[in-house]
Amino acid sequence: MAARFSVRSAALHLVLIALAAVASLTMLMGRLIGPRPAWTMALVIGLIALLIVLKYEPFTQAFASTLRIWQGQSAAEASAFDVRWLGFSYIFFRLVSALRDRAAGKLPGMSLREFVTYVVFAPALIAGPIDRPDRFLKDLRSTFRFNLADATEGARRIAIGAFKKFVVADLIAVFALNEVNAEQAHGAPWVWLLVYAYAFRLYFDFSGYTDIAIGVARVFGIRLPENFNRPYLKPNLTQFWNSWHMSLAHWFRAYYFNPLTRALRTRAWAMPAIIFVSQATTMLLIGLWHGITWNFAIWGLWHGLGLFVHNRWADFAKARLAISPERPRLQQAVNVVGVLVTFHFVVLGWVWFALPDVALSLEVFEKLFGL
Amino acid sequence: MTLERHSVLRIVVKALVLFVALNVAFALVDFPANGGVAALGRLSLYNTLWPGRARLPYGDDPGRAYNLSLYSLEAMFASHELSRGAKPADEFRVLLIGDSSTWGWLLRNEDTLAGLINAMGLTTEDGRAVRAYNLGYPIMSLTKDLLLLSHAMRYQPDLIVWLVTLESFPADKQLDHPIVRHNAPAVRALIADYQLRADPNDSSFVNPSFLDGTFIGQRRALADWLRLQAYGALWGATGIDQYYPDTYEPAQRDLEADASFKGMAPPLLPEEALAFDVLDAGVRMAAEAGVPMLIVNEPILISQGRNSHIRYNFFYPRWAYDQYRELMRKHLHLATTPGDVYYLDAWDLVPQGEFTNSAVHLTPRGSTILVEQIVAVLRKQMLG
Repeated sequence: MAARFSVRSAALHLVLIALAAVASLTMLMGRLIGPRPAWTMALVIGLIALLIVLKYEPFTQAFASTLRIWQGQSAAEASAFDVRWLGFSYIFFRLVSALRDRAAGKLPGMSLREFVTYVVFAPALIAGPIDRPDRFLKDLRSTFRFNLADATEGARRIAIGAFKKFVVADLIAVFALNEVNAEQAHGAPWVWLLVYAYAFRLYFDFSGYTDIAIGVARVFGIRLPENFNRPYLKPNLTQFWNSWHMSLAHWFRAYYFNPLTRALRTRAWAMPAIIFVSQATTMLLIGLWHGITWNFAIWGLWHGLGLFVHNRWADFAKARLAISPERPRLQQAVNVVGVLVTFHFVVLGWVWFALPDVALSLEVFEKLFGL
Repeated sequence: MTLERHSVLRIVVKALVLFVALNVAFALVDFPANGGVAALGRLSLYNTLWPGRARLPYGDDPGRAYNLSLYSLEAMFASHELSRGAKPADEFRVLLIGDSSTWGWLLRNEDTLAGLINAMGLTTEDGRAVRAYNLGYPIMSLTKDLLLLSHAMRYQPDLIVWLVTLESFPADKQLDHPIVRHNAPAVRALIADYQLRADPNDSSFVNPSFLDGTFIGQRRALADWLRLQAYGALWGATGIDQYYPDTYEPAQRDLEADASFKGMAPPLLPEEALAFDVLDAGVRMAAEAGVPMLIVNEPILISQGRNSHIRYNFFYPRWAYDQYRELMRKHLHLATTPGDVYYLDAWDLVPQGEFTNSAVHLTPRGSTILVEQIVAVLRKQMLG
């Protein structure tokens, strides 16, 4: 890992030029071709292909090697970091949002400068949240006047975010699960501790970044959407995904899950099958967006299956196991159990997410359950 | 808008007052020793949430060693298994003091001297179980040893085993180590109490000002303390407390044709160039507490490579080391301090194949050879 970071990163000005070029190109093509579905689809496929090249290590490496050779350098010096762009994962979402909204006639007219600002908006560039173009544009176009309330709130969010990220998350990161300590740790309670630490480290790290992004944007009068809402305290997996990386879930719901569900409904599929296919493939794509590896795929399917089971269970329980409002304590107890079950389901899912290969993940599961 | 501005101003003023108050309070807790960090150091997750460490915290690659170096003796000892609780009545407590060879560089805890002694399951004549604690620390300075010993005496030892080597003796290098320099008040107290030759106003001492004792001034120490607590989880989960490389550079066998030692040339190693006053202070400290002490001249690599007729190893030219051994023998023989002091000169005990990456670092087998000798002395002189 250390060797990876010792690799020289791309020059900032080249990255900025590349980002601006992709955004401008997308904008211009959008203008030229208009809202024609075939062309939109071709552009989206092009972006997906680029995402795959940047997310699938062998392709990235091959691409980097090709560029090195093209520049008359040794391919041995190539690294995935030669070509990966800071924040491309999030740029991808914004570009696809713009293209799809354009095709649907929902994209408001915007200048090239507004479009590029939306795509590479600095506070949200590396870790989101993923804003929608129409909502972002509304704030961007409103006249900026220094507002003490916004500045104070922004500063508060930045302070909270910095504390979460640089104090809490970085401290927990010391003993969070990783590929090295996963092999070294022994004893189920200790391995559980590492896995719990990973879960909280991830939450505080990511939500801390989000707080900072929201806070910085707020100082400039832009209200980015929230990304987290106490996700580990949710009583079921559906609510978890409505409160964890919310802007990502909204994006997939709007641009993949809902259109797919609508399309499947036109066929004579049973509803459970539609739900299963929609949820499983949505979560699989979310997994693969993090990186094209078996572990991210399994993590996605883990959640897809979990959401499907919860959906079926909720359907079953609603009719048969409804709790009377006169029994609030029972409802409370059921909620507590739900929170614990959901939390542990998510925590166990992080084992796939945190580790680089399936064998090591299975080894950790064996240790967790003392097998 | 005016009201908002007032609110903001009030918040800023309150925050500033709280910030200053916290910093001043933190500095006042234990000034001038170490600021609040010294007091905070006594708080530890070790021996409660995490198991106590088997050796003092030390490490310059925390991410791989799950261990780190820090200056707070309080925090270091609080993380050690020695601080687990009151001393059991049936325990014969042995504290091992020394350098990296005692600490166990490249050795698993079970292969260190303390680990090997504990594995032998020794008991005293009156039935107490012998329990050894590793208080070695990877720095070669008798003053550092004395500093740790002075701190360790509160743990009621029944025996102190102090492993020394010539490299720890040069008088002009005694204060030249971060842990010594950053514990200036404690070292100055030792200088005063035992009339050591070291200069209490030596410029290498780090003298904390009041500002250095504040929360901000102590931010590095605080971060170290926090990280030490966090790494305890990985120590508990893995039992790892140092980084073990797959390979290492073996100790040098072919040596330079250089007969000098720390700027000194043969034929005479002046006694005053060595810190025997510090050794005496340790002996006195133990004697005053009525605790017997075994001083061990630790094994060194006796090379048979190029220029080994000039030098024993990378550290020592033959003439200097031979004179050092003579001085040790003479000095400990002449020691007039009360109490039991025993001396084991184990310099040539371990064959050259049982050293790892330095002329004093032993393999597990080398450690076993040394422990057998130490235990033989203990049995003969103390355990019965």
